[in-house]
Amino acid sequence: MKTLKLLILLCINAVVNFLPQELKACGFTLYKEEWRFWTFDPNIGADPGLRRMFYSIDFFHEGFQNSYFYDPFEDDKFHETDEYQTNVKQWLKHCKELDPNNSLTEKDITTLLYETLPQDYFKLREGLIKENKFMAFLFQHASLLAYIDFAKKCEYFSNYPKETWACDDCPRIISPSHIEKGSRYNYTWYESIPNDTNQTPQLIELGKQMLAKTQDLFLKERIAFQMVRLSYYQGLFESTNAYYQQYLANLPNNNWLKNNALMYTVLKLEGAEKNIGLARIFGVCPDKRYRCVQLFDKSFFEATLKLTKNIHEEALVRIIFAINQPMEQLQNLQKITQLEPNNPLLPMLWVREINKLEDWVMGSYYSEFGSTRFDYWDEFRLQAIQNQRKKDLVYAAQVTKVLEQTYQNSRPAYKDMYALCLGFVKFMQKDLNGAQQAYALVQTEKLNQIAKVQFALCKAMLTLSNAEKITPKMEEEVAAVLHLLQTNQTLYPQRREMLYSLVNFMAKEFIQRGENAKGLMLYGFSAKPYASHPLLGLGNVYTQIYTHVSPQDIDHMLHIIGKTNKTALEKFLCGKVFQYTYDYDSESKQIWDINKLRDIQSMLWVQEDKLFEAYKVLQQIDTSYWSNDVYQDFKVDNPFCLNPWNAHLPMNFTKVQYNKASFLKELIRLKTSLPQLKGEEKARVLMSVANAYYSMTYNGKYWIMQKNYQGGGEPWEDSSDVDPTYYSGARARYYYKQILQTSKDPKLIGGTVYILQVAFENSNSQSAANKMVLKNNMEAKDIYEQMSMNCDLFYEFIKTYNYFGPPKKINARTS
Amino acid sequence: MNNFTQKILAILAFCMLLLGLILLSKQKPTPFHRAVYHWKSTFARSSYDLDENKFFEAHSIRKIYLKMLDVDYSEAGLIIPVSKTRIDYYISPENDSLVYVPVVYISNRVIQFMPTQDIDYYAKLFLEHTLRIETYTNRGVNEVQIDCDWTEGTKDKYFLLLQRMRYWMPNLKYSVTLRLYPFKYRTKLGVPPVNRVMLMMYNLENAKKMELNNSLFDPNVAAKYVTKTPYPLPTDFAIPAFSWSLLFRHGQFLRVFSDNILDELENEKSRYVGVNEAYVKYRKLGYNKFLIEETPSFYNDYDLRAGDILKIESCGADELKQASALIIRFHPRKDATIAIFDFDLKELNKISYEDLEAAYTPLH
Repeated sequence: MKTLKLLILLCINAVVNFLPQELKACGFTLYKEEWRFWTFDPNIGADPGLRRMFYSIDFFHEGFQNSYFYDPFEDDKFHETDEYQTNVKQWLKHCKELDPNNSLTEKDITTLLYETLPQDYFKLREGLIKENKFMAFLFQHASLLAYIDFAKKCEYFSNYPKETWACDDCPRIISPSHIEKGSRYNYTWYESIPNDTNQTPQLIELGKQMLAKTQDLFLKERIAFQMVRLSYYQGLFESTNAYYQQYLANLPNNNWLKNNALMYTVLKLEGAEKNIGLARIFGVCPDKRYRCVQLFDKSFFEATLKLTKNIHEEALVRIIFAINQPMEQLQNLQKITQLEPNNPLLPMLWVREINKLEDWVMGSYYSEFGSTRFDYWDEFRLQAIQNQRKKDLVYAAQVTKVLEQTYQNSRPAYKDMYALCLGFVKFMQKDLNGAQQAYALVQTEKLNQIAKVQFALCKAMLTLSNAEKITPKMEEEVAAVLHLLQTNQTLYPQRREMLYSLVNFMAKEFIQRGENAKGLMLYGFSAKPYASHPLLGLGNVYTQIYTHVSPQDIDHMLHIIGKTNKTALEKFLCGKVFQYTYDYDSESKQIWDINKLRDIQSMLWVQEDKLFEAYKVLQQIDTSYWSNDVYQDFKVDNPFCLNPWNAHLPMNFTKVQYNKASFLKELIRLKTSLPQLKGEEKARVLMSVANAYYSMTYNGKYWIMQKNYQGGGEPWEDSSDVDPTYYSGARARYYYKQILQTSKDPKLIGGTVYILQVAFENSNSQSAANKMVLKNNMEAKDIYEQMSMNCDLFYEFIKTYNYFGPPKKINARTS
Repeated sequence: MNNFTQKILAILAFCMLLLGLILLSKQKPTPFHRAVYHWKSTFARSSYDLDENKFFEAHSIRKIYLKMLDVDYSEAGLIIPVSKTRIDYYISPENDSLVYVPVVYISNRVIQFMPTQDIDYYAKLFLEHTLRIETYTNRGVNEVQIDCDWTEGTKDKYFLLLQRMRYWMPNLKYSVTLRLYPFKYRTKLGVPPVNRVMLMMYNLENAKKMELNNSLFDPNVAAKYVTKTPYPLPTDFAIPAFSWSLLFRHGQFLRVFSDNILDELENEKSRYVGVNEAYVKYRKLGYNKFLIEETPSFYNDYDLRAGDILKIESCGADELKQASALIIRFHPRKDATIAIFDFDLKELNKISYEDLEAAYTPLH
């Protein structure tokens, strides 16, 4: 037992030691696909039906089976259910042939075939006659009804395997009174268990009889398909093959029943055999392409190539493999081009390479999270990203070279698309002239809607990168592209993601060209993570502004917001902004919070100790602003009172309430009164001022005077000496030290030294310096030592010497 | 008899009457055994379920009738286990003072369509699924309960199934649930070959009739089933404190959810309102019926469709009290168990401690 405990402790120790050292917040994990940089629309290389094979992190990066994020239900949203529609149309046609006067609709058929669970179907069958014309029609045609009944039963056995009698945690009754225990930890993995073998033989028998009896070819094919499926799910693989061969194999290649049945005959195979079967289905059955890619086993790639019978099959195997690969596929692309230069899937594969490259090359620059090649929490990633970026640029150069040849040899229909790819890959390499030349090859008048938007986007990015300064004309171009991406997002959902990536790109480009205000405001229009936040994990637009802005920039922002004649870009910038990144819900966007911007500006002034400036800004903020949750705290506490043991502890003896403005007003008043004061009175005001500054440090309860947020990574008072340059720590210390030079009161001196010791100066040298003050003041030393040992004494000190209200003799100035 | 004697006798008679009344007032309620039914799809038991453990402790509950399996018949899949209770059992058996009686619910259609030659197969299969609780508690169960609304037509096959169960596990005690109808018409519906019966004081009318307002419990209807003679088998009693939601489509009963699902629909609404309006929209049709007007495409856990009608039926403190009060008229023995159906703390917490105690201790 002891050994076990030791082992457990060692394991925990190992886990703790090897945890990422820069975890910013508990439980927060950023999903790579969310920050992936992409502005190149994959739809320009393929029709939307192929979208599940576009480059993305979740589906193919880690492989389907291992991907944590893989969600088959999500996939269904993109599934182009052509075969369902085909089947419905075929049923409609068949019913018309049987009764030309029927008034059936596709909706009736779809409801019954695809929207009624088999369990419900049998409960509602008669009731549906009134509601559903197809059901009524079936009741008039016994053979059709018999088939649908049969098909629904088959559907149940194929689709609801969990409702079977298989049970691993059940005990087994071997013989009367003789029981064998079940296993608690051996849960049934439902997908892996066969259906109830006690009941399905009856169904198979029924299918056989129907197959033998029916003369209707339409029904015969469908019964055969059900038999293929049923046999497959029962593990009767020979029957699966036999039914397929006998009834379906001779149907045309584009017959969905044939192809679906073929899939079942392939699924039972393994390794390269299975792969080649999948590749063949991939070639003839668009609806099954995605599933084929999913099931393709990459480890048998070479072996599969050996089984190909012709050039087309080899191309198919290579295409599936390429789609399944997250990394560079240039060589494979070249090979496919060589085999089938006009393969219609080639453009999609090329765009995949472009999407990879922009993620790797540009993603590592335009967000703090870098390229998705790396985990953002990896502490060594910065160097690794730089090293990898060099390699990626070499790869980009190789891609450029091959793309140039591809452009030359491509069919006219693809030339514009390849020219765009070529321009963009050159742009990524900062070959701006080369990009310009490639874009010049594009015949814009021939472009479709999607390509037109892409072209405008590529041009705007290029224009911006070419510029040293942002001109009004450029702003117009930028605004036009942003507007283009914003419109019709329902029709083209990819534009939303592209817009966010583009915003992150433009924000950085604007800032680099001295347009801080506009650049930072742009971040408000991106929900794609661009900055990390020590507490929240992700920065939002206001934290981004707080981190990078100057007080003058905020004036500029407020000017833009308040302008009456706005330019197109300014109009865009003054729209509703995301309050949080990683939030794709446009409904939660809000207009700019001017009070928040002013609040941030006041923080910046306070950081520079320009209290008058800060106060002036705060005076412009609406009173209602202070009623939010964060600022509620100010109303119950007094920043001029301090307990350095726990600076957040409420110490509101005076029952005075403050908000940011009234606090500053009082601090200014105290500070301006100081030159007119002397002796003990001055010392006590100094104490209040010092306390106030201390409250504004990251340790204090009024840290929000100069920080937009308080992160977990702040240095804490008990860990080391306070960095005197860090916010107002040094200012607080300055005023405490002033007390030592001003006061003769031993209690105040002893207490102040104690505060300095506890709050600021933990090192031996500092400690020794402070104690020098006490060397010739035995009473103060005595008080200091007593305080060190007795908390109650210090508590009494705080009550006596902390903020006591404005000095009576002095007429305090307001501001 | 002189006046004096008359007076003495009158005083004596008065004293005896008084004594009788005092004795009557001191009579304690019969101490029946106390139990609950657990009818959810997941049974979780752990030392950390403080609320549940407190509840059992506070009401001296020592027994749980635990539904393990729900068997139905469908043309689609024939005899199917529509619901197998998931067991999350994380308490050491020595710390678990509860006794479990696993229950299997078998719809009458299962018996109706079960081929006679398969009865033995299913008897064993049902037992195996029912005894699954032993895998978790590491304790053998003493009693197994079968819940089925058998009819005159299915009586023979049902009883044969029960006999075959006893054949496979002869050492177990068997009980069956008994509706009030077979309780009264015992000659017609027969007395099942088991050790005990659990008389259900609710589910009086056919829930599948949409026009009925409340099929669960009506004390006047229940009282009609009182008989002069006790049932020939030891009888326990189940009294109701639960809600269910009945779903009707195209006027036909489709399925039942063992809870008031409107609460969950409201939860979803509060989550999605103002976002995409992606929640189930419904309106009240009257009393306890609700018309589903719109369903979202992605959240629809209950597979509701526009046009469906939901009927919510509930039994609360009043029904529980009324059902309990009726028990005495059904000839309870001293060793009888009273079980509340079902154990849902959210619902039971709406009933006061005193009312629950009163329900467990019906007075003569």
